[in-house]
Formats: sequence, C-alpha cells, structure tokens
Amino acid sequence: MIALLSLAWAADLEVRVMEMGTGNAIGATVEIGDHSWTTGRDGRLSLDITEPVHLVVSAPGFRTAEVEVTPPIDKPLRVFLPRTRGPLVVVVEAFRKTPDVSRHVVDAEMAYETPGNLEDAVRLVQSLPGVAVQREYSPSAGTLTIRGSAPHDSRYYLDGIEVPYLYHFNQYASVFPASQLGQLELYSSTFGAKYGDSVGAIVEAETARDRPDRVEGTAFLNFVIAGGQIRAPVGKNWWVAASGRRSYQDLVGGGSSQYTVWPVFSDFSLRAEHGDERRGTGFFFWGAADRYDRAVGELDVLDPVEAEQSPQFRYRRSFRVGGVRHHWNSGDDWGRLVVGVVDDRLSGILSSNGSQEQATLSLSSRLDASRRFGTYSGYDLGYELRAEQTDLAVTEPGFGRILVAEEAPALGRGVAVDDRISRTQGGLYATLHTGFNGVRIMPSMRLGFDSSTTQATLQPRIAARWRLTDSTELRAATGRYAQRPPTTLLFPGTGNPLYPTTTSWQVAGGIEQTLAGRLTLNIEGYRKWLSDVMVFPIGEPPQVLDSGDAYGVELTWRYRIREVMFLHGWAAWARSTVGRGELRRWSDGDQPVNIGLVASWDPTQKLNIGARYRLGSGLPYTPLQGSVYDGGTDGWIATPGLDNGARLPLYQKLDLRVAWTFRFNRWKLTTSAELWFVPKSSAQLYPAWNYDYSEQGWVRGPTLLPLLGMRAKF
Amino acid sequence: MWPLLAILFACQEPFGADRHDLIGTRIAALTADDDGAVVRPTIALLIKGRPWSNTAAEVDWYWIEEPGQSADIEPGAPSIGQGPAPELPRQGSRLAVIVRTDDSTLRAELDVDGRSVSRPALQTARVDGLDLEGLEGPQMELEARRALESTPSHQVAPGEFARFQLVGMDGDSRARFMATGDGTFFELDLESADWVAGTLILDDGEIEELSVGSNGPITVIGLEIGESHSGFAAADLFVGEPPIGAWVAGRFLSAEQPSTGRMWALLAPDDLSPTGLRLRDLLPAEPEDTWNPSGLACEGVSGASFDPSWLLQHRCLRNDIVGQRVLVEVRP
Repeated sequence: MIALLSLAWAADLEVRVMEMGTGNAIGATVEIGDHSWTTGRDGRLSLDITEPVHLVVSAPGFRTAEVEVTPPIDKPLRVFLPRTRGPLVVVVEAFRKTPDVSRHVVDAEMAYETPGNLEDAVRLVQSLPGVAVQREYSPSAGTLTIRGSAPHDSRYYLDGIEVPYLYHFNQYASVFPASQLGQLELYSSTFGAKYGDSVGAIVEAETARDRPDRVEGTAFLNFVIAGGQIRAPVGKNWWVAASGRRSYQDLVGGGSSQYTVWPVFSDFSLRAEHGDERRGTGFFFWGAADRYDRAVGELDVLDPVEAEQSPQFRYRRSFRVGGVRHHWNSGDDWGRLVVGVVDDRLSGILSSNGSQEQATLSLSSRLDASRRFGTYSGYDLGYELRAEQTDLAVTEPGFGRILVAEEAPALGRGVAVDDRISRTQGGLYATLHTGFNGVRIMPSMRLGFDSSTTQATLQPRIAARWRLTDSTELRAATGRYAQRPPTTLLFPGTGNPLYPTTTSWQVAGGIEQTLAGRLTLNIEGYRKWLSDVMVFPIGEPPQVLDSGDAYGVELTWRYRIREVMFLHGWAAWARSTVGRGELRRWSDGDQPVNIGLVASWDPTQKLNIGARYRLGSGLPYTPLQGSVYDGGTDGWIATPGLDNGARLPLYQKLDLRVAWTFRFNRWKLTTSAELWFVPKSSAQLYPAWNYDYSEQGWVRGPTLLPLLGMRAKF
Repeated sequence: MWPLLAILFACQEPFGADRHDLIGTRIAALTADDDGAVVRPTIALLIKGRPWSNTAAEVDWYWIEEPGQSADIEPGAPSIGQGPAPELPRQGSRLAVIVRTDDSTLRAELDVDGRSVSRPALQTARVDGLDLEGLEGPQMELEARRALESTPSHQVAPGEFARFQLVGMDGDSRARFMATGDGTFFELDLESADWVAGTLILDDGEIEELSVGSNGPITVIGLEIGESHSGFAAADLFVGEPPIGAWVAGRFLSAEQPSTGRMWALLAPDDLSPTGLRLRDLLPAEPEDTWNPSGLACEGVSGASFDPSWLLQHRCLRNDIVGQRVLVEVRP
C-alpha cells in the first residue's frame, strides 16, 4: 500500500514516521534495496540520498508503506502508517473478587457505540439487566429504576463524590460526558459494605486515568448539544484535562410562547493529575447547570386569555464540585482517598406567587482501602463522610405551584419555610476476605450514622463466591441496608424531621458460566424486603408505607472482543410492591418482563454498525375514574382509581447505528447516523385526559426518528 | 428552528369535545346563596344536550368535608335535601350534589362560605369584519380581535363570528362560556369571548383546520366565576335567519307572529326551539296586568314574568308547563 506522503527535494533526507490518525511517532524500519535502517523512538531517521530511491517503511502493528524519493529534497519526508488490527482480545468480565455479587461494568467503548445511547454514560445504564426500560422522551425517560427500587433509593457517584443530580433538562443528557468516562459500574442490589445510605442500587463512575502521551482531544456535535475535551501532558508526571458541553438551540432559535427563555444546559470539568493508573493524585473541578423560563401549564390546551395570563416559572439549577483524589494500585494493595466540596443550588420562581430557593454546601470524603494476602485472604475497609448545610426558603406558595412541583418540590408542597439544617452522615465499614479450595467468603459490617437521627445503623452483610471450575462460579450475598430521607424533607412544616429510616434486607444469588473462554452466561435471582418505604406524591407531603418488596430473576449473556465487537443481552422477570399491611399496590418501577439485546461490530477500522432492541412491560400508573365538577372554579376534580392499577402498553424500541471514521494524518472524524424505531403500539409516552376526565387518550412520541452526529478526535 | 426533540415530536390525540361544548347530560353550573343559616343552591342542567327536559332528574344534596369526597357517596344515599332548588340548613362549608337521570349520574361540589349568587346579563353580538372566508391566522391574535367592534345581534351568518359578553359581574370575577351546537370559542378577555359557527383550529397562530358550520339555534351559557360571587346566564343565538318568534330574557321562543313588550301567551311544545317552547295566542298585556308563577308546576320560582331559563335550572319540566298561560316580556 502506498501511504500518504509529502515529497521533498534535498540531498540529506530526513524521514519521520508517524501513526495515521494520531500523528504519534513510531519506531520503524526503513529499507532501500538490501540496506535497512531503524528510526529512533521519535520516528526520525536521516539518510544521504544522491539518486532516486524506493523506500519501504515498516513497523510492527502497522501497514507497510512504499514511497519513491528523487533528490534534491529540502523538506523532511513524513510517512504516516495506518495501524493494522491487532490480536483479538476476548474480554471476559467475570470472576471478580469483590463482595458485590450483582455487578455490571460498562466502559467508554460501549458508551460510544451502543445504539440509541446518544454517547451518554448514564443512559447506558438503562441497557443493563435489572434496570427498567423507560419510554424514550416520556417524563420518566432518564429515570433509573433498578430492581424495583425508586429512583431516590439509589446513589450515583463520580470518582467517589455523590452527584447532586443526574440529568439535564428533559433528561436529554446526563451531567457528565462519556468522553470523561473510564468505566461505570452498576451494583443492582445486595452490594458490599463499601456503600451505604441506599436501599436501591449504586452507580459508580470513574474518570479515565490513563496519562496522555501528547495533546489530544475530541469535539462533537449533534442536534442539541456541542462540546469537546482536551487532554495534555504537562511536564514529566503531570497531565491536565478539560471538557465542556453546551446545548445550542437557544443561540439559533430564540424562545417560544411556552419557553420564553429557551432551555440551556451545560457541564464542564477541569482536572490536573499527577501520576498514572497505578498511583496518582488528581485535582478536579466539575459542574453542571440548567436554566429556562417557561409558561406554567401547557399553553396549547389553555384558552387564549388563560394562556396570556399564565404565570411564568423561572428555573435555575446548578452544581459545582471541587476536590482532590489520591489513588493507588499495586496489584494486591489498592484504594483511593477523596475529599471534595459540593455546592448545589436550585431556584424556582413563580411569577404568580411563590418561590423556592435551596442551597446545599457539603464537604464529602471517603477512603476505600483494600489489601490482599495470597489467594483468599485480605480486607477492605474505609469510611464515607458527608457534612452539609442546607438552606431552604419557600415563600408565598400560590397558584400554579402544583404545576411546577416536579421541578420545585418544596414549592409544590405549598408550605412556606425559611430554615437551615446542618447534617453529618456517613459510615465506617470493614470486609474480611477468607476462603479455601475455591470458596471465598466475605463477611462485612457497615456502621451508618446520621445526625438527623439518634440511632446509628448496624448493617451486617456477607457475600460468598465458589469457583467450581475455571469457567464456573457460584455467587451469593445477603445483608441489611438502610437509607435516611433527603435533607429537604426534614425541614419542619414542608417535611418532617421525624421521618423514619427506610431499612431493607436483601439477598441475591446466581451462577456464572464462561463457554469456550468467550461467551459468558449468568443467571441470578434476588429478593428485597423493605420497611418504612417513602413515596413522594406530587404536590403533597411524602408518605411512609409500612413495607415494600421486590424479587426477580435475570438471565444475561455477554460476548466481547475489545475494539471489534460486543454482544450482550438479558431477559428478566421481576415484581415489586409497596403498601400498608394487606393493602398492596405495584410499585412505580414494577416491570414484569424486561428483555434486551445489544450488538455492536467494527467490521473494519473505519466502520461500526450496531443494533439495540429493548422490550419492557408497561410501567404502572394510576387511572382516573371520572371526576366531580367544582362549581366554584368551573373545574373538575379527578377521581383516582386504584393506585398504580393500570399499565402503559408494552414498550419496544429498536435502535440502529452506523458510523464511519475518516482517518487523516493527525486526526480522525467519526460521523454517525442512527435510526430509532418504536412501533405505533408502543409510542405512548404518558396518558392524557379530556377536560372532565371522562376520556383518556395518549401523548405519543415519534415512531421513527433519524439522528446524526459527528465526533472529531485529534 | 427546531425545538428540543421531545417537544417537537410528541403529540396529543385530540379529544372529541372540550369544556365549551354543551353536549350530553351535564351539570353546566352550580352556585348558591349562603346567608349563614340557610343555603339556597341553583343548578344549570343540560339533559341529553338540551337545556330543558320532560323528565325530572333526581337531585340529592349533601354536605362534605374535603374536595372530591362526593365521589365516595353512593347514588341514592340519604341526603339533606332534594330537588333543584332546595333550602338547606347550613351544616358545613362544602356542598355536594348528585344528579341522576336514566342514563347518567353526575356529581358537583361547591364551597359555600360567604357565597352569593350573582345575576349577570349575557349579551350577544356579531363581530364586525371577521369571517371564516378569507381568514388569516394573525387576525385571530388577541390584540387583533380586541381591536374589532361588534354589533348587538341575536344572529350571525354561517362563518361569521359572534361575541358574547357577561356584564354586571363582580370586580374579581371572570367569565366562562359554553354552548350547544357546532362552533368554536376564542376567549377575548375576562368577561367576553368570540365564537364562530364552524370549526377553526389554530396551531402556533396558523390555521390548521377551518370549516363553516350549519344553520340553526345555539344556547350559550355564561358563568361568572369569582371568589365569593358566582352565577350564570343563558342566551340563544341563531346561525342564519331565525324563524318568527319572541326573545324573552335573551332566550328564544318560537311564535306565530312577531311581538314586543309585555304579552300574554299560551306555552306550547316546540322541540326545534332552543327553549323547547312555542308561544301561542299572543295578546298584548294591559299595564295593570300582573302575573306570578304560583300556578306553574315549577320549584322555587318567582318573578313578574315567565323566564325560560327556569327550564335550564330544572325548576320546571317542559311538559308540566305546556298549556299554561304566562306573562312574558318580549325584547327585540
């Protein structure tokens, strides 16, 4: 193959050999006839050329290039070699030694190449087993309901710091980009003692920590958001990274009658790192912001005078996190220490009357240290600490507050408050590792404490793994879990400082089998029993229900060859209920059937094709059984039916993706096209009723949606 | 420019009727006079799409504690009062009514604390210079319509716009309108609304659907909704030329000959009339002639002349008053 060249005329020929698409220097061999020379590690070589020659340039892992050179030459000869496909690496993501028996891992490659994902790390979690399938662009599109738990039951961490909120406006994009992601782990239930204050699931994301050899970056653009990131080495052991994303439709489209200030969302991150994946210290500063002004109520359904008089709602939400992290990993000794400050703010102002101003400043710290002595023995220990101060002011809640209750919940509850709560919470944990003959047993204890209650919680847990053969492992775990209410619900008046602690006993067990060293199969069952379950009706005070329970079985399979293909799927059956005594109802996340299949393949280095299919039972909702006319307001008071007594129709979605990468000398451009298909029978987003609630219809989303995107990487 | 994808592509299926449409059997209004010891409610009831009926609905009244609680009351449960115009001892602050007909059970509620019944007047007019023919979207914007004048009228041609105004409301009240027939409302301000005989659907200021309606009568009800005052008034309007008849308190009764002023008449049935009534044997009344409704088979009515809206309030059943001689005030 003839590579791209820049030909020059000079007697002394300077050759520089670099990788196509990145410009990285390559140590290569240059042959002229029977003679050969080797470049330095910087890819450079000087030759004395007096007559036309035929050069053959080669390097391991790269395609050979041939070039004709005729003197005189007065410029360096740059030779770009494309990389050949390396040995196929089959990834078997199994047989970890942690006490988290229900664990799934996704990385940047999966985030970028899973169809329908919009390159979003958190949305990718929705393609994992145990996570309820949500209807795209419905009000719950970005909600993570995991093994029947409510979204507020789960915790979300980035590099050990809890993320104040996960999604930007309308749940279009999560608050941290996949370009920053090293890997993301989902612990669906029955996780180890390392995590606490959660009866649901844990999502732990970790930023990439590999040190760049040179300045590199990406830029991307799709219909809604644009952004980029850059990473660069600084000095011998330091490197820095910065990223930023912003929606841009407000810059080109202006407002509308419904959104008088068009939604704008953005996020950023700045990092300075010393070291590498084995040992390093990092300073970080990241954050996100969302803002818009909108008319309260839907103007399309109001009469012209009501629409003209509709109050305005001004929404501002943002957070900033700054801190330092130190990590180490020497094979049998690893861990991290993180200290961070989080500033989280929410402002919601109703023009008709009422506002909610909320600010939380918190200091978070955690230490996770692990050591192994031999095959079975070792320990994990650490702490988690969070000290916060939350100021909440709700003034004059008036007309329209119910209509903004999802964005400003305290305002929606309609109780004025102006108060401050200081709170300290956290936990200490320790896990012992012991075992013999392929059996690993990991008892652990977590001591949880919270200044909002006088009682500390002891949370014993135990996990076991039994390696039956090199390709078969049994796993089981059980334990106690506890969760306190969020601080904003502990304010007297709008909340209740005496809300109880939600507790849960959980058990999970399964078997994992690897076939022919390539295909991984896993079947797992789980059960959760909960007490003092909190539910949050819109516009009303939270309620405490006696109990909840969730159970299910998940079958998953995975096959992956890194940078070539990945194929994974799942089929799950699960049920979850909440209630008081004998009065039970399906929980909001009850989804009896959940099936998915994801496939992505790079047939060449330039082409990626993929497909994702998901099917989920319709989630429950509360139907309405007519209404009562209110003569004082000329309105209708809906009569609700049985709590969660109806279900949305079955949901199916097929995402198809094709991406082509153009490789240039020093950069590459990936263009992608996706097609989202939702059959008409599944296109319902949420129910809607007529004026007197005597008829129910549906708000429907698109059945076919093409999407385009571009990503440049240098 | 395209908005965010969810806003662009989500769409709601249209429903057949909205709150402006007086169809089927419906409680169109509920108000009450509260003097602290006794509450006197008034109801506006549409039976099978008509503001009159030959068959009495069963109307039961209850006191409740919380909004929506009437949904838990079984139809036919013992009540504190029956009928369309009772006098109820004050035993609470929220009143509920259950209305049962042969094909419907309806519920309504009202906070009665300090409430009084207002008696606004409903005026009808024709909007000058607005017609479906040649209509463009910008003409329907609020400011454009507010700039248009109107001429008092009981009729509009097909495609023309009518304007309804509720006058005599309390300062903090607003008006709500609804009508029988085939038309589309466009509110104008807190006390008036435009209406067109036909279908007109706008989307973001652009005309999406437009069709001219058919000739015939409609009955309009205007509600006054206020913190402490509420009331309603009814009026009839004709699309096209009305037949010969008489306008009594804004309502139309067909007749054999035109008339005006105080008239004696016999009530006769007329299913095609918006009031269900026809006037026969019209004779001018003498200045000294008086009348009272005590001879009518109606509940809780009073006044010096017959009011066709007593049938809308279900105080009178049409066939019970047919053949009765009444005094009417006929206004042009």
